[in-house]
Amino acid sequence: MAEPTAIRRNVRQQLAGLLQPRVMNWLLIPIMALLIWLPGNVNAYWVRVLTGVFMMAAVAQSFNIIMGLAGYLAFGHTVFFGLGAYAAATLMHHFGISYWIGLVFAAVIPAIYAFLFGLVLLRLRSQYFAVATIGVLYGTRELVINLRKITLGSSGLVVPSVFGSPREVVVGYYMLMLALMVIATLTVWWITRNRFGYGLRAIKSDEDAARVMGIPTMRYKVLAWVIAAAVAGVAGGVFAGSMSYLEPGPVFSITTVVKAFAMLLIGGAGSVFGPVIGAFLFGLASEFLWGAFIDYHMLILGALIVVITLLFPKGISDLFAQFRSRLAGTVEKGGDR
Amino acid sequence: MVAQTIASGIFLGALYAISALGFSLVWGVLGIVNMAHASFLTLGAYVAFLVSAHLGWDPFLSLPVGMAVLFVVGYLSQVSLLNRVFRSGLAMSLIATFGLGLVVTYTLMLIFTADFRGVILPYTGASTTVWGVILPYTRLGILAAAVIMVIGLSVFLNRTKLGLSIQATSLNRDAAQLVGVNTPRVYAATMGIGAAIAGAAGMLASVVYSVQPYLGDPFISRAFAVTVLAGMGSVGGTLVAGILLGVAESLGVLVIGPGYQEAIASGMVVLILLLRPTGLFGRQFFAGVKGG
Repeated sequence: MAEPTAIRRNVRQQLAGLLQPRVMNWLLIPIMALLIWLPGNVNAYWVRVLTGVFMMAAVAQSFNIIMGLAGYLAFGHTVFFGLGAYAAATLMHHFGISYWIGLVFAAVIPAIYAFLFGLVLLRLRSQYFAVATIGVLYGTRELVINLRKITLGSSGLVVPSVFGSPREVVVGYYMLMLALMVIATLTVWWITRNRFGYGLRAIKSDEDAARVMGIPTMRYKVLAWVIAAAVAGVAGGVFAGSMSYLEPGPVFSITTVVKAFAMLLIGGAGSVFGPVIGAFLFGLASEFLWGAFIDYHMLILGALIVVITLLFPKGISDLFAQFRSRLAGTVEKGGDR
Repeated sequence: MVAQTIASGIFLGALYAISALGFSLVWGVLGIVNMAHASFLTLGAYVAFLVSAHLGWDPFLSLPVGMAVLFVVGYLSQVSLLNRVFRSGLAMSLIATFGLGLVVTYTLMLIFTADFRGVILPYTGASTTVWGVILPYTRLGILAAAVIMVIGLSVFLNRTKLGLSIQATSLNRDAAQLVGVNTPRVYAATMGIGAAIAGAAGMLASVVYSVQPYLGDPFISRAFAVTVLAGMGSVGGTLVAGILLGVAESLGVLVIGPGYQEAIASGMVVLILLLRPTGLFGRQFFAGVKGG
């Protein structure tokens, strides 16, 4: 007969085993099946809520690539979201191209923008980079507002929809955002598993050392930003389609980056599924909160961010990792990770 | 025409300088890029509005009241929130202050609604004309306040014990602690002073702009531009840089047309960061050495 402590340890290890990424990955199949089944079977409100969550998950993944993996705090990252939205919408409006080709431009134009700005801005470090990207965001937003011939400025732009009936619209954009979230997550997964991803992590922990070791730091950083920009841009393009009406304010809002950052804090920056988990927790929590107090939702968003930073200055994911290692018994009494 | 444009630019720049002064101090000393700065400014404007609507006090004279209120707000936010957060890195302080800013802005929205309110003074429309250039009294008052504020802050930083403690902490927080500086209190006092100056900027802005919950928003990109242009923590440089930016924007309106002011400010931020990250007058040591 085994001793109780041994049994307890065994149970703990089993639990820890269940929380391992390898086991969690198998859960993805039923979860994906559920997400595909869902829109046909719940009401439009919840489909819309989930569409928003998928979008924020994709944006959070995009932010994860440059901030979580490479360690560059692109605080003005929303600029690519807005540019993607405007690239798709203006080209459709002026040239009558199809929405699908519009989405290609929604990826390409932000990517070019990121490439050009990346070549110069990614030479800056930490706070200087962060502030410069905010400058790019503000400057671009004002250009979009003022180039009325192209963007119709603050009066907004009507975006024709590719889907027919209202139900089709809701489900169509749900599926598009779901696909985008999956592609974004696969992209992060792919990056973390090859040379490029290890290079980015090396840049994050010590850029000078990374360069000395022969990592082409500049090329990697620019590439990371270009990929991140393309993902954010497509998210913007899909968003523009789903809104059917586009104006500069909401798509060039810094709030989007702050939300993405909060999601990384919750889920874990630099991890593959963290941003998605963060987006679900944050998105659903805020939906419940301001579903009840519709007038106060910005106030609640602010309070939520303050509370998250106050309670979890290192991120909630950090607590989860501690919990997991404690379960596995790797942390002895009072041990420091 | 050009002389008038330059004069308006100088007046505008004086306001930009005051709105950047506290921002620059906080960034230079604490390493916090304070996204709540705009909301502090708005809060100051509402204090000015309340004091002038209920007590009939002139915002220029009630500046100390608003600054005291904002000092308390800044001090408390540093003690209760930011002192715990800001050492976890730039990112955490950025989003914590952003959240704080949302809370302040939307609390104001809740209390005062989005209505536009005005602070009307007996001399609001009055002006004097020098060599054909119109100089409104309110704008002259703001310029004078900017000069006084800059001199005051620089005297405070260089001549008082707390001011010297702030400088010491910004140079090397561990060494400062070692020689007996109570650094958490210095951080809180710095944030308090930064907020107080933001409040003063808001009170002055209330004299020339309508008071509404988003009043401070346009000033944040200008605070970035002025701070980067001057170099973080450079007090005198802030006034010069503010006026440079104000004049550049006014001339920009004359040459390119209205609507591009924010693009000009943002373009300046990016260019200066690339060409001369320490700013025109920045001392590298003031903010550059400090890690994290």
